[in-house]
Amino acid sequence: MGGSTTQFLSDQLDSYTESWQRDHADALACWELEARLKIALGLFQAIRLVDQEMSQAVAEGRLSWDAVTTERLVGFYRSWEAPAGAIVRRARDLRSRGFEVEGAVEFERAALEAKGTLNISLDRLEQSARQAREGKLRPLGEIRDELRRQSDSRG
Amino acid sequence: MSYAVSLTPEAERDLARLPPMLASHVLDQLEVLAKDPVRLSRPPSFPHPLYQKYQFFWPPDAPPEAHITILFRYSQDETTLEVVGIGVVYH
Repeated sequence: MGGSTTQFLSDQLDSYTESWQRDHADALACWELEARLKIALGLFQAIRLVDQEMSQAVAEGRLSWDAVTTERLVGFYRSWEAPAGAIVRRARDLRSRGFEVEGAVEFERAALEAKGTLNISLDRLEQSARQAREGKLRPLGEIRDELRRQSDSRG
Repeated sequence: MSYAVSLTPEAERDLARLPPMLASHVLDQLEVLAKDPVRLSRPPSFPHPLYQKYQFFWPPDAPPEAHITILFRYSQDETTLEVVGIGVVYH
């Protein structure tokens, strides 16, 4: 799938990460942060698009899902997410001092989504997928009833 | 069309790790998802191209404290959503 586009995205993310390493978020004025949030959100949308296109290609048999593909996507999300903590802190700091920081809420949501994507263990997912293939599944109603009983017994 | 929902033991372990209030909300959300999975879920993507994603924030009507990702697939007879993973990230 679009090797030149994934390389282009990879280059943009390298530049993005380097820029954040050079300039500390805590020194940015509100307008500067807003400008950078726009760039960050655009990059995140690009990662999502590449991710979806690659996944679609796998589903249609045009691309194999192997370690190289997985690592590449992990790398995109990881590079994008690396400076997110400092950016969120700066945005919250400015907001706590009365500034409206355009894009801050969207950025926080995107950062949570990126972290959530990186947080899923591929080994555990594979084990769970095997359980599903073997029919080791329990209905939702049964699980809810059990949780209710446990909650009642705790009083 | 409404679907049944079932969880693998691994997904149940994910659920058991959540605080009770959040676990209960996740179960509610699975029931919501079961009513309209095509509209509510996103197409497969990383970390696994075979599973649909359903994502939402917690709490639902306040600034987000956590982001939840549910990974599932349709059963072969297309009557059940088989949940294989529940991922949570806190602020």
